[in-house]
Amino acid sequence: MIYKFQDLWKRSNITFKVGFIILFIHILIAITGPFWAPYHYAAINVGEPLTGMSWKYPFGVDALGRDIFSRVIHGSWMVISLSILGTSIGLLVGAFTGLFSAYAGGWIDETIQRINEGFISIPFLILGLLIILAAGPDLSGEPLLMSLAVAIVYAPRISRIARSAALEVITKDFVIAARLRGESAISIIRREILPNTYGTLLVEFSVRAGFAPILIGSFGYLGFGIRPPFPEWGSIINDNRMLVYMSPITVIGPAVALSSLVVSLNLFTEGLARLLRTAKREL
Amino acid sequence: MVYLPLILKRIFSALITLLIVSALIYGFLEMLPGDVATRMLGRTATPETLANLREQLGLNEPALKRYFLWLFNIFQGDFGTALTSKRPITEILAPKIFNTLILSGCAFILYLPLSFITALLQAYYKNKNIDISLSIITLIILSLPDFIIGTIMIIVFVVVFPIFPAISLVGEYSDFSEWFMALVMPSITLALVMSVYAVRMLRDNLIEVLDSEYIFMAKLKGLSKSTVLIKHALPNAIIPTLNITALNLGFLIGGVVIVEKIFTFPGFGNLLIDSIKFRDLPLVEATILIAASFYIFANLLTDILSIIFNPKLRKQ
Amino acid sequence: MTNTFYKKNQSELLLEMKDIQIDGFADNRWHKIIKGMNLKLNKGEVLGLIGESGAGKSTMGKAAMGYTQPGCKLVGGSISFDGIDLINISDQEKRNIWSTKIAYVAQSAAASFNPAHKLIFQTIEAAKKSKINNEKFLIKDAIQLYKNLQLPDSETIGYRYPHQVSGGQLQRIMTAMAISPRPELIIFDEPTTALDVTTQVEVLAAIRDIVDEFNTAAIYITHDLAVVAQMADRIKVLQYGEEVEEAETRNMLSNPKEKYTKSLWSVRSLTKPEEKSLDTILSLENVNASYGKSKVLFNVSVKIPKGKTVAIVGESGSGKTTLAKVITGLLPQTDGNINYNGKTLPSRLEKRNKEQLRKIQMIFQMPDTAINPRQTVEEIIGRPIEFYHGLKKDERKSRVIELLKMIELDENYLYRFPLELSGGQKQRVCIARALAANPELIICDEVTSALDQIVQEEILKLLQKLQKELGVTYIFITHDIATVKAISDEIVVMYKGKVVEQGMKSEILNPPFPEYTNLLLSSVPEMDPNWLTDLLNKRNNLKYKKEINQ
Repeated sequence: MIYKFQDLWKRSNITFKVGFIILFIHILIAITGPFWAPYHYAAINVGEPLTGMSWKYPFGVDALGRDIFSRVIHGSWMVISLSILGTSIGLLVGAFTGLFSAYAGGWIDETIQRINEGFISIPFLILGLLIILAAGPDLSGEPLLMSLAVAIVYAPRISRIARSAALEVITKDFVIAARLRGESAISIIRREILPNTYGTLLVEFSVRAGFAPILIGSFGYLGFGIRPPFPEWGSIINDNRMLVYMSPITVIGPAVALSSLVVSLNLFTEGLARLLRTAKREL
Repeated sequence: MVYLPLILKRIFSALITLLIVSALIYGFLEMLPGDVATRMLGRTATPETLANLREQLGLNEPALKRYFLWLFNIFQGDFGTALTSKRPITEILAPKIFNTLILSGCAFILYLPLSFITALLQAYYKNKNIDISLSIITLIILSLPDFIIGTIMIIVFVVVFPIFPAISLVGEYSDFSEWFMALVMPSITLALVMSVYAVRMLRDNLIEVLDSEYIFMAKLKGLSKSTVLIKHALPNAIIPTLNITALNLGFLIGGVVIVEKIFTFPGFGNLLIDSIKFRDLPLVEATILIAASFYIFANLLTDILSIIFNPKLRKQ
Repeated sequence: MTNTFYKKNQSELLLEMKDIQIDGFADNRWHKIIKGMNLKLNKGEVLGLIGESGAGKSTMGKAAMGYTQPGCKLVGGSISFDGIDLINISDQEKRNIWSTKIAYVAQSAAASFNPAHKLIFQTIEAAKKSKINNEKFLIKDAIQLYKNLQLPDSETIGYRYPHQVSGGQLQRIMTAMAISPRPELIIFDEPTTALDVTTQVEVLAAIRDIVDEFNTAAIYITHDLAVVAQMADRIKVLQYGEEVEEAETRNMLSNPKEKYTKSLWSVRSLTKPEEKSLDTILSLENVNASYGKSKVLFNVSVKIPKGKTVAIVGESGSGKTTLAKVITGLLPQTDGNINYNGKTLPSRLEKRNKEQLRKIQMIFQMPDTAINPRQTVEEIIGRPIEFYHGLKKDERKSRVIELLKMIELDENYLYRFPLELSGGQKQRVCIARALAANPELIICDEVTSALDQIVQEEILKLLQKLQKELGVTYIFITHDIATVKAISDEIVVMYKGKVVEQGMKSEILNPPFPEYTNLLLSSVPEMDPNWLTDLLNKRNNLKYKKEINQ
């Protein structure tokens, strides 16, 4: 499944390409942004509050006189890295429990699935808030807490997907052949099952990573996000939501940043999934 | 009744899930290692306030005992008393749940045709321009967080074209037109959020049905396109539609929280946010448990319906 | 339709397809699937289309209706049905023809009926749509058709849902569905391939009778020569989307001209002389097994002679695959004993030691799923070498190359992935993987049934060669009598979880037969075009005699 990038690009579809390009720009901004953003994210009174859109302040200025554009640029790397961190932890835990549950079967499987079911029954946003609340006031506002919340929301859902992907593989004769050979459970999961779930897990990771910024943004919008003045995009929208009547751009700016990131991730995923499907058929 | 054992089994399993959910909620909030009171009030709290809170929550009792007492009281319809307002939680919750049910009901009524017709159009014109453009539109809406959709609605219908009120305050004394004005924007936002997910899954499901051999056979019988679609494809698409709808209730309930905040709608979601903000544990526990049981109940209902609709379980 | 006599108006042309070219889309480009083929069919005539997978026979059959499946396109040629140009008419007109004049019978009846509707309404749907008659009449007619097709409970069976009816019955109901509007042409697309032989006979007879009765023309598509010999007036042989040859059935059978056709014909002639062995390598004593509550094996006792091949024969549900699972320990028996070389074998797989596991290897039915698509040939064959014999790196590699030679593949295949191999090559790799353990006993579970006939023959020859060289014992599980004749020394016949009989090949395949063995053996189609007619006459006489005796 290791393609050279050029080869991949040539075979890929327009969805994948557009998604990739926008995503690439986002990542570029996330990495380089802090060096060229006009102002520090917490610098107040850099402009006349609520002056609206201008060349100097493309996303306007908020009530404290902060430059929204600089805030959005500075927020980028944190939004992206927290999303990927949270999703990765969720994927690791989910994939491990899912594969293990599928292979073990019996009461172990039943128990793990029951607990997953319990987690999934709490609507994801509410589960995230529950975790933030459980962490207590000393920890709330910590950036890593956001990733943890994302990971706990995702793990049971990914576990379920990983389990069903594994169950499909387990019935295949090559797994039975490995069992007949006398291979250990670990060896079978690692050699026979896991490599055949990579595709599913990759798409799952990509879908979830696309939703993580929304989730983190929602925490911020509800006032439970990263502590101020750090410019997480959902928090910026929350800070300025009463300003829409006077200066809508202060909300539209971060909204465009957040939406374009998620759109690019979703396009990328969709293209990737289609690519994997055709690859599967061809091979 | 062939279904009865299956249905009973399903109900039993829903009850187990509910029990696990209650344990999760309680476990997260009151059984994590460390002192609950300190975790609620922070390190800066004085010993007196901590002791006060412990007294109020009965934290001096062992955690497991408190959990079972809590469960036992809930079975009797008693969720306890809220910390902040000192009123019985049932009394606080009831009117808010009522408002939210009305809101979600409206959203649901909009959701059904919106998602079903779109998905049907897409499946019917698979890979044609209509399908592709609808796919792009749903993908974009899907990528917009609900608070951004809501904000856009406000910018368009309140700021640019002042048609609707920015704040959807309704109460016991509101008349129909006030309710109507208050409900339009939140329910459209909710319906949009829910349906984009449903449309994508439904489209794939319908296409899978349309690709099946019995549909091929129906076509080769010379039946018209509409007969094939309505008589042969739809009956087999009902069960997946039900399941998808149940799954999407997670989005509905999560969406309610955000949407109620955007439009300041006095419902369940806003209550939840406030109770979290004030760290009112008994109230938080009650609201989350109710949200989860709503989800579990809806899933149970769709499962029962799909058991009944499944022709493979039908007797001759 | 029986080719012993010709029907009255068989000279009138019904269907003419000229220079048909169809392309299919795969791997991001268009491939030629049908490369300029002609086909003619007279009224009331039956044409057999025969070929291996990828020959384009099914695509051609659908094209006869003016239908091209999604992912395919008709790029050239003309189709004229009863004087109507099927390519250039509107969809509406085409649908009208489909519902009245051309019908289609698919391979998988279970998937072709809509699970949401009762059978009888699906049966009469086309006729009802084209308003051939009113619903009441059509239902009556359908019931009569069910009766003619010898369906049990013909009055009520139509009011069941598809999942409540067996595969053979569904296939007959689909035939009734095709005949219901009284079409002039029916396309039968491998209608009996998914069925057991004893069921196949009934369905074949039913199809033949009903096509005869209504003097319907038919295109009969199959890969099974013996079947087509019973059904068709004429046979057309296809390969890679081109016509190899076409002739009247009897001529074609007795005197095939092309080399490819001859090779198809010769496959079934593979046989081997039986040999007796006195040593027993494996024996099962009164073995019972069940899946959950349903019991699947009843007091099975079998002896497997060392260094020989035992064929376990039975239809679906006979318990033959379950037997393999019990021997390998995948499904522990509920009671009874399994002895290997005189010692009791633990019933659970997990309780067996490495040596016990090594000695018994298995080859599976579907080579596609039997090897991990994410591993190279070297990893697949190398793993048991490493696992059982501890060979690493170069030693392992040279052993893999040695094994590849045994299965007649060369070093170039070492780094290939399964997806770069053909079905036959995959099965060879599976054989090599089994051999890599140096086993004494290999269980072959329907190892040739997923392969084309010519490939089947190659695999069987390879297995025989390996047995001669290595002296391994085979347990050969199959439903195909031709395979049994080709490879076995001894035969075990199973039916509904019980052993019907066991003995040397010559004993089992020659009379006197127990009742079930007789039914099974006599149901296997033979190349003789009179076989079906003769068989049915014989069975009817027997039934008649029985009734008189009672």
